[in-house]
Amino acid sequence: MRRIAVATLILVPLAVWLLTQPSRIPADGLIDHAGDAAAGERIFWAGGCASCHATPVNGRRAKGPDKLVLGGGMTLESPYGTFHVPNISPHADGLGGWSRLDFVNAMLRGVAPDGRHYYPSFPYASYAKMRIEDVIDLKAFIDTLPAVAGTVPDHELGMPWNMRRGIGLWKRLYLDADQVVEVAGPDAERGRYLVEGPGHCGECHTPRDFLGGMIESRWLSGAPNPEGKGRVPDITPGASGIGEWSAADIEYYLESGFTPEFDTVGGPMVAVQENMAELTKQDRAAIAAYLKALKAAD
Amino acid sequence: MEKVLDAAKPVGAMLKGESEYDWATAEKSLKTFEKVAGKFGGLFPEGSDTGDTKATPAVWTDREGFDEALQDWADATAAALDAAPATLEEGKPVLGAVFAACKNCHDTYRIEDED
Repeated sequence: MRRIAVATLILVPLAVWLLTQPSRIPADGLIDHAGDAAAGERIFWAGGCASCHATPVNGRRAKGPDKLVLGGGMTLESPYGTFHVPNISPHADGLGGWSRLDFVNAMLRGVAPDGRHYYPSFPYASYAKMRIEDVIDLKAFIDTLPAVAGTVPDHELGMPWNMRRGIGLWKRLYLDADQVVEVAGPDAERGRYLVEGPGHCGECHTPRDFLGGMIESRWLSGAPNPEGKGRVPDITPGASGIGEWSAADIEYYLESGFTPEFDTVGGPMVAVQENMAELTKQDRAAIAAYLKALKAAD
Repeated sequence: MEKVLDAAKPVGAMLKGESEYDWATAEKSLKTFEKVAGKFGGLFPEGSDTGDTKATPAVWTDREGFDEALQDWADATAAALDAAPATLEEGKPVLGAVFAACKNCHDTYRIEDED
């Protein structure tokens, strides 16, 4: 009996410690790729970095060139508490001094340079599906942006969410580099990469389970708005989704912000649409092809 | 407001390439915008910020910004009427500016539908 108790006291914490350990990509896991800032700009817009990390101006989201000032400071209210979005500008208060490996581990593994887990409010569960060369290009682009000083307060989370180490378990359940759905054809595949990876569309459009992981069997079928009232729409081709939208409609919406009814994009999607408008027509067409290739949710 | 959306549809369809560009149709829509834009601010008097409204509180707390956004819409509409573009190529930037004004104002001053 005593032996079991002792074993429990030692082995359980040890197991938890091992299971929650941050998994980093080692230095030799980094590919030999010179960062290309121009290519990284495409990833920057596809990834929507500015939508959270650009410093708000007069209490409102940044617009136009202010989107390139990545000093952080926005707050995200969630059921777990308040997240303060950090500075990711190339200043010492942000990503200044980060190695490419640091950045790759943040994006693909959700691990900070000091080895701590990031919270999945930083959508690395999607970014984990990105190509390592795209991540390196993205860093090259961010390095060209203005360096701004400033740090933000720590996240304000309740128990047990404030125990960062526990995120290691969450990652074991939900973090992988695999694509979510099968699609055929180069356009849909290109779109899949953009949507499932950098675009992180699933983070809002896919419902989550009780641990906050995306339910892949209900991929992009709509979900409660993580920031409050209402719902984020179903964007699969079913009757409750956007089945009546043609691929050209989706493409035009992403480019212009106008629905097939010529109403305007609204809510948090405005910033997303503006990012999509920065992509090429080919990328927007690819996203449309992917969304049309999805299985209808109903 | 429904009138505005109805007027926007044919212009949107032209910009999108769904229908043939036709200045007379666009002009008719712009005239509707011109008429409504002048009255629009009056639809949100002080104290009407409760009940069934799709307006955000900013309409009342930031009246100056709201009025400015409406003025942008009126200005873009007037500019498009002045330009009277004969082709889609010429029409795209001026009509696009009118549409951008719609979107810009909605972004701050209109709430999303809440199911």
